[in-house]
Amino acid sequence: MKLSSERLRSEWLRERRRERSRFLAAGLLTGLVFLLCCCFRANAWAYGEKFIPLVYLKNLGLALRVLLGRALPPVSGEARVLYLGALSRLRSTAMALLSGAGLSLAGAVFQNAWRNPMASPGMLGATAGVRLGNVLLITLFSAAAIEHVFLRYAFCYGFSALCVGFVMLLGSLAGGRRREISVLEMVMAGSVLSSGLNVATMYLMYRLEDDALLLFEELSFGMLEQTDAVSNAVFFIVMLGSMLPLLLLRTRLNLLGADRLESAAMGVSIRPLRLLAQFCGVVIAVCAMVHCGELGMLALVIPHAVRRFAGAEMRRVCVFASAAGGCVMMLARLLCSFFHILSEPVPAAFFVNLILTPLFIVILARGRGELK
Amino acid sequence: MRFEVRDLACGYTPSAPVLRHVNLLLEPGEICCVLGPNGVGKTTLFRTLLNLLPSLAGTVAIDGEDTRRWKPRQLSRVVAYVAQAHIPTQPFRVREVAMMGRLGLLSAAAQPGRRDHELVEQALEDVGIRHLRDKIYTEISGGERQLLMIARALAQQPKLLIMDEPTANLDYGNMARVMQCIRQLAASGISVLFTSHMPDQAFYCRAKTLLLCRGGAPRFGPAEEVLSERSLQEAYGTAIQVFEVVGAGERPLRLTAPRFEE
Repeated sequence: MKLSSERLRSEWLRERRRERSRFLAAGLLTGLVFLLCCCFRANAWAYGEKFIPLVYLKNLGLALRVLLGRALPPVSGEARVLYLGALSRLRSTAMALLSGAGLSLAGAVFQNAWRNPMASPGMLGATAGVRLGNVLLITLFSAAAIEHVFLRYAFCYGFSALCVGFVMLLGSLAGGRRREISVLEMVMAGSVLSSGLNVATMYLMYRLEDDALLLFEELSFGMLEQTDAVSNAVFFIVMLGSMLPLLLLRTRLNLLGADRLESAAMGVSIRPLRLLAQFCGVVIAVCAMVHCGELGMLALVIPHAVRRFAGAEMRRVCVFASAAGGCVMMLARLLCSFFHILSEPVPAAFFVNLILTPLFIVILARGRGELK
Repeated sequence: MRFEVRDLACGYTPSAPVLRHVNLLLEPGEICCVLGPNGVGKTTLFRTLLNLLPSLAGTVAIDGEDTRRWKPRQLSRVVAYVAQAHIPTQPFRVREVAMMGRLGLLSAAAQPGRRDHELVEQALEDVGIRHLRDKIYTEISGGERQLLMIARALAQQPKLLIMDEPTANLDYGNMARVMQCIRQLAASGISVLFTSHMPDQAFYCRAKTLLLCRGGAPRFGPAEEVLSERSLQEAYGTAIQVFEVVGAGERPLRLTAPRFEE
């Protein structure tokens, strides 16, 4: 039976309006969390990192005016202090937003591409490469390693690229005559390579002096925020450059799970798409780890949580996962500013996992076997 | 659309082709059932027809134009494919799965528009599962899932539909529904090429038949001519009887059954 064109048109318009309003709500919520985190962290900077939310809320208007440039040039002493704090915290919060958003996006892409609910970009051995890069640099330069910004990025990105290239080569060889990269063999190669590199990392760690070991831990867990201009430029260029293709191609990413025959018949060459998606995902994971440290379960849990309420369609999953991951990461960074354990700072991954572990338990309990 | 395969040889190495001398011709609205034992090369044939495997000899032509140099997108405007078993990856909704059929026809970063929405809804309606449009794809039955795969292919607006064992693992009712759907598609002018392990299905659809035999030359022609007891025995290596049944007020229908030894 031929369907009425008018009826289909009104249905389409209704669905498009609903979707746009949801995207807008996600954007507004993320913007709101971003502004709130910036305001709170700027105030915390001015008040010596004390947790006095009522005072911060009272100062919200002033901090907002500072952040939006309305109070420039600073007119009062309080505004000037806030302005200085806001500038440094603005960059740090933006880094948290992008690293959380990028990791969640990469997790969603990998889970779809590998048809595996446990898949994450770290499975290709890239994160083990970053750890080895950090520990090698500190072994060579001890506590002065932090000053060698370019060398650190070369070590971390270089080792990650080597690891991923090696794992992909192994997967490709295991794919046999047709050179179809086998996911199973690639995961196994990634695990074995990561374990081997972690042994080397641990060996070098045990040889470090106390202050060098402390520096390694601070770098690995992202407690040492590098917000200098070079680091910021590298982070924003690499992160945005990797996220943008995934966000632009988000509708087509729905086909990542299709096999070669199906996708070819649908007019899409799946291999370049899959390679591009995995490449961007790995670069995002490496960038997040190099600049912000290990960020816990974001890449695993956020895509599952988003699919629970927005469905599996990648056009929505990519947008909502980015928004949700960014918000969780910004909140985790905010909590890091205030809460310490035995007077020692706590890494953001601790709060990320604190927020996401109960959520994941609920998802698993209510999933009724969906993750099979 | 006229789909013609002439003297095709396909396989992975030129020295040992899997299939040789494959000939078939489909006019608009015709159905062709590809039959043959396991491992004879049906999937290899489909991979070659869809340009995923270079042909070793012969031609594949649509309206006289050789398709071997066509890009995937150009081919997808004419030919759609329904896989034997689609492995659900994520809990997509039914309409989202059907929409995937349109994605290859859009530019890489484009979003589906009103026209795509209309075509998808019409495709779901055509196969009779539009009432399931908001259901989760992993929660519908195997037969409904197969109809959804056909709807996804129809959303491409193909002129030729290639289906790999569309009734595999389906119960009798769902098999009948899929067969009915294939007949309706052909009646609407779409050519259908499907594989099966049930020779009866060639008779159900009054289809042309391509019978592939291990080591022998493929036979092509109307099912009544190609599917004889002798040719089926040659193909499957077991005795098979072909008989005719006549229902009340209906045309005679041929069926097959294995001939068991007493």
